Amino acid sequence: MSVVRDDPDHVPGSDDDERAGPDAGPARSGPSRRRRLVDILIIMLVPLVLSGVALHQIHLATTGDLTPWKGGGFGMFSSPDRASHRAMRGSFEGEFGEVPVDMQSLIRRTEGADHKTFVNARALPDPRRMDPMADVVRAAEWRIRDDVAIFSRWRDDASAGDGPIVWVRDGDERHAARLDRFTIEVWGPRYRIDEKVIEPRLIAAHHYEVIADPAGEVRP
Amino acid sequence: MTSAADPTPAPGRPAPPAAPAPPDLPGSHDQEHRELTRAFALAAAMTLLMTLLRTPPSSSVFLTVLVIAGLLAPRYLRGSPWFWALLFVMFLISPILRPWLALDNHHFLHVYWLAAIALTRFASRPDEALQTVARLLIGLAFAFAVAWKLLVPEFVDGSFFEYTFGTDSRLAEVAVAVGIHQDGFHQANRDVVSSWQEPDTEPAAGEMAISSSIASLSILLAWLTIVIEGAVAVTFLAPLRGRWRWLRDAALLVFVASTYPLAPVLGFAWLLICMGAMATHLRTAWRYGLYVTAFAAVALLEERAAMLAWVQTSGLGDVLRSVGSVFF
Repeated sequence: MSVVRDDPDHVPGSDDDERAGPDAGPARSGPSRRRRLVDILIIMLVPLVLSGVALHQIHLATTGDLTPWKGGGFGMFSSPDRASHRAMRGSFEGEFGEVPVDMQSLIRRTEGADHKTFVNARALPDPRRMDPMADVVRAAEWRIRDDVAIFSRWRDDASAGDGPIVWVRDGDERHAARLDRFTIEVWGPRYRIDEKVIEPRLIAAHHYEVIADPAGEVRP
Repeated sequence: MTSAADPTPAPGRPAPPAAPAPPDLPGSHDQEHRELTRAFALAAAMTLLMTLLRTPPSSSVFLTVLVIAGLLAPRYLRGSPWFWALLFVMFLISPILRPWLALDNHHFLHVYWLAAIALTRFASRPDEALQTVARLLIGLAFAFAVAWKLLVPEFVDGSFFEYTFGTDSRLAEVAVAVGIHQDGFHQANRDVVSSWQEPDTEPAAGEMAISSSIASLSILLAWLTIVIEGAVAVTFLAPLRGRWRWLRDAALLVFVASTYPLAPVLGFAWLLICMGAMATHLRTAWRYGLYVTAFAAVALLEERAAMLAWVQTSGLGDVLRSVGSVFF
């Protein structure tokens, strides 16, 4: 059965175009043409959005540090670098020297917006997502035990530029130590097939200077 | 064109008067239209069912109620553009409450699919428009998936599959069940990756515990994946005509059958089946036979652990290992 091309219900790009032969009639002008334009938009809009999101994801993953598994670019099951295999690490530098931070002790206690911040920063550790992660670190009080900084409790007075409060035990006393800077790193896996070795790869490291001491006084 | 058999007249148009339907001529436009109407009925029902089974945890009760209403009142709700528009908005709000970088790719595809159903209800010929969009969405998703696999060097040289069989419990379980991998390797390998979170040790490299069979299989699996996914992308994006269109169904169903028993992302499998049931040009009997069977078969994967245990205890694993040893 031949299809009449000026059918106002004709959907452009559909199978009718394949069925229509060279004898198909001319397109109707006016409202019919506008209707056809609307139909084209309806058909193309979602595939265009899919393509736009996927191209953006490929851009972020190839020029930045986005894991190929996330972001809507269909890069899942293509790389060992999946978000759940990434590790977030940290360190504090201050009057106590440099100590590693037990980030897991913090992450386990995050929920709601703070946990979203962690998930986003781990999947794409760029400044836009790591700076809020630094705020989560700042929002905690830490204590140093066995040369490792461990989450102690949430503080309620943290503000931008503050450092996290780090408690150091000095005999029976403990005091809030001076902190100069802290670092947050994201590591991921790399697999060397020739040697059958899983290697850690530093994906991103962000350093944050502390401009106020625990008492809130700005240091020179 | 909207026939009397079409329960979903285009918005703003009066429903055509009921008239005795002329007998269908094979290959006639009316018959194709009726086939499309049935395709939408099937795809819509399966989409609602899979949305119910895979509702995001953060979604509201209203979304669940809406989906159940759509399942129970197909005539009044499923043909309505506003029903699908509301469902799309409700679904979009739910997963977006989570960080977008936590979403899996099929969550994105689910949102696109609901948007496509809602939008095409406003087209002159809704079912035909949705058939085209379903075809494009499947084709594009697989085109990007293949592009990624060709883009990442660790995929084409087999590193990805070797690493994943060694560290992903889902793939390792299958490999252990069919006797080509050892139980316990997976945990040892995961411990290497987990140790990087320990603050008191520097991240260190670790040796991968992997069987020689997996190592031999990895490159083959990598290229097989590229071929199958590439076939889906090409067949769905190419303007195939007439009898060649069955290649789309064949490629998609081969992909579903070969992928999801290994990596049981059931939401993704169901979504592809829903979209495939709409995109297909198969006649109703074939469409129902293949796609409903595939949908049910994927549901059986919920019992995957029991199936794998059966493979191990029934001796089927020994048979598969014997066959495998001939090649690897």
